[in-house]
Amino acid sequence: MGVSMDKKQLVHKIIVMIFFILLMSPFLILLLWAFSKVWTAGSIFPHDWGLRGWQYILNPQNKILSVIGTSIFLSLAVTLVATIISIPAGKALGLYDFPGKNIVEILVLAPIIIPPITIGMGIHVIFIKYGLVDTFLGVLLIHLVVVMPYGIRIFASVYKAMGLKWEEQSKILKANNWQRFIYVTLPFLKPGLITSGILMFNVSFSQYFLTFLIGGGKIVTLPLVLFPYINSGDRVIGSVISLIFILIALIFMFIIERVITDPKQKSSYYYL
Amino acid sequence: MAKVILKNLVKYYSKEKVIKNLNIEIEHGEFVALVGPSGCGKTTTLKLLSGLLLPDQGQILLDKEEITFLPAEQRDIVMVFQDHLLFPHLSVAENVAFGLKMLGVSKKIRMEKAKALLELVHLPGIEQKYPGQLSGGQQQRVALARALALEPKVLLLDEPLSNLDPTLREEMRELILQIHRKLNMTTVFVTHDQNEAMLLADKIAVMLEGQILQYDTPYNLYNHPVNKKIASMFGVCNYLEGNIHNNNFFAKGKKISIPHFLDNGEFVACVRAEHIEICSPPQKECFSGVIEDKKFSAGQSIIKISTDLGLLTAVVKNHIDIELGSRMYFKIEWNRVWFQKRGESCEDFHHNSHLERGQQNITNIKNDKAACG
Repeated sequence: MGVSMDKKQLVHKIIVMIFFILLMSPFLILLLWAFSKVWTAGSIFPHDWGLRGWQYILNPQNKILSVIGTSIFLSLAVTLVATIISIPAGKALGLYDFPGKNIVEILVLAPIIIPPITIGMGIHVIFIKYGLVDTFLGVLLIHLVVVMPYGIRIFASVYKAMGLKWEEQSKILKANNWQRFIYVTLPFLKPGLITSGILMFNVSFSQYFLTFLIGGGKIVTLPLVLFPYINSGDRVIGSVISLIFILIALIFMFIIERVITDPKQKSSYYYL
Repeated sequence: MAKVILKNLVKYYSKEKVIKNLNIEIEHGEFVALVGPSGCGKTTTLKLLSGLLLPDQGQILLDKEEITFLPAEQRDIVMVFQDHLLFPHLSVAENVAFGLKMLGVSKKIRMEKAKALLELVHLPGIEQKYPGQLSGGQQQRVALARALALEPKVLLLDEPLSNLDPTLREEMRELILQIHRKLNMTTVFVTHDQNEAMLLADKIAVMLEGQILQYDTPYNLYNHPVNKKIASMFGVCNYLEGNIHNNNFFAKGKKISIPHFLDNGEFVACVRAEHIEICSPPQKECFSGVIEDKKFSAGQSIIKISTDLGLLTAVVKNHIDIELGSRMYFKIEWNRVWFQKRGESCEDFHHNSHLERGQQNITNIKNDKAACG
């Protein structure tokens, strides 16, 4: 009995380790590349170590830092605007029945299902007409299109799980519209805010094609500078930018969890 | 003062008429129970009163002031739901004080009030706990305290006892009654349990299919129900079909003189199980019957007797020491029997099952010489 249990545990451990290595190995290779100087093909480890990539990025002349700034600012703005729009939209889809609801649901999901190129092409023409091409606002709007389906879907399911009862109860207890939202609905939306915030930020942050199309090279984000380095074979700088990329996403995730999660609350899903 | 009047209320749920012309008047300080099977519109009525739903026709008056279309948050009416719906992210004290916070009452007063109310519902000292840490009964009591904190003119309770187990139920019932007597708050209580309604309410409104069939005191519902349906809801009833002629009731070839005057015609007599007594020794007006079944429950016996009049159910005091199948004598208190003209509105209610079964039995006991004398 004891032996078989040990065996089981051993197998379990090995499987976990394999998955861990599989998941972490690209990250480890990135780390090695970021700090290497010479790494010829065929050798397991770099021959020489160096900080060339990091120096390049920190050098103001190369404008990488300002690109990082633009990227973060853009994705934060996209996440904020998308959240503000997604909450009422999710509520409408999650709680109410109205004519044409199915069509609206499909349309909301469409930007995820249909390849971004097709949307981008169509919107590009319209944006040229309205002078939105090559502007920050234009890029923000196109990011909203791809990001919002996630937010709306998440908030629709949160509202669905919540139902109307909490709102009715707070209405009965004399809360007006804003009080109901702030004191009752918002705490229930917290888990949804965390998930959708992280998801929307990351989708926006790693958007390449649409930023390139609408931004026209004037609005430069991190994926836009990352791509040429990987493409041209300067793996060192490419790896450093990739690491920064991952780091920003992780930091954002950490901050959003910290800010939103209520330490007093036991389960993160009140309504379960 | 808080007098509530519902006038000709009509409510549709997507073309289906769920409330059909509902009228009710509730006096200040009255405890009214809405009783009826599920889906009869009790909860809808309560939601109309609270303002969560708006009626399609009709009026709601609170102290002669029309509140029909006033939003829920502006009405002086508070409702406690079937699920306690305590806000899980707020402590018990914050929950109780929630309504006061919404009205802008200062924190100090809020917390004092919450403390006092928790004492009122017999839960002192749990202010800092969270709803998830409380038992079902405690949660329901906190929900009650939260509603009372607003000092509403009218308190609405939507089946607050239905999620509790029997002992807690009784405790909570007593608490509700005690608080009602203390605060003298106009209260409307929704339940599907007529027994609960009988025990709690000053007046009971029996609802069926979006209408109120009878609105009366528990005593009158028991003794003067308007139809068979209500008669069977509040206690066991035996129905005897027969004719009245010159103030005599003729049923199954028997002649009974009735104490109060009624027109001639076809009638159904409703005999409460409690109004059938055992005769010992047998007297002139007694009937005889064979004991078909007997059950003993808390100080009383429920017996089924097959007689010339059919199979009757009787509830008698104490245990009866008679074997099944043996014969005994009993009498009906005819002065407490209620007569309903046949062919009237409620004939289509099939609540004369006792009688139908009784008719089958009658052939079996034909040889038996009826009654004494």
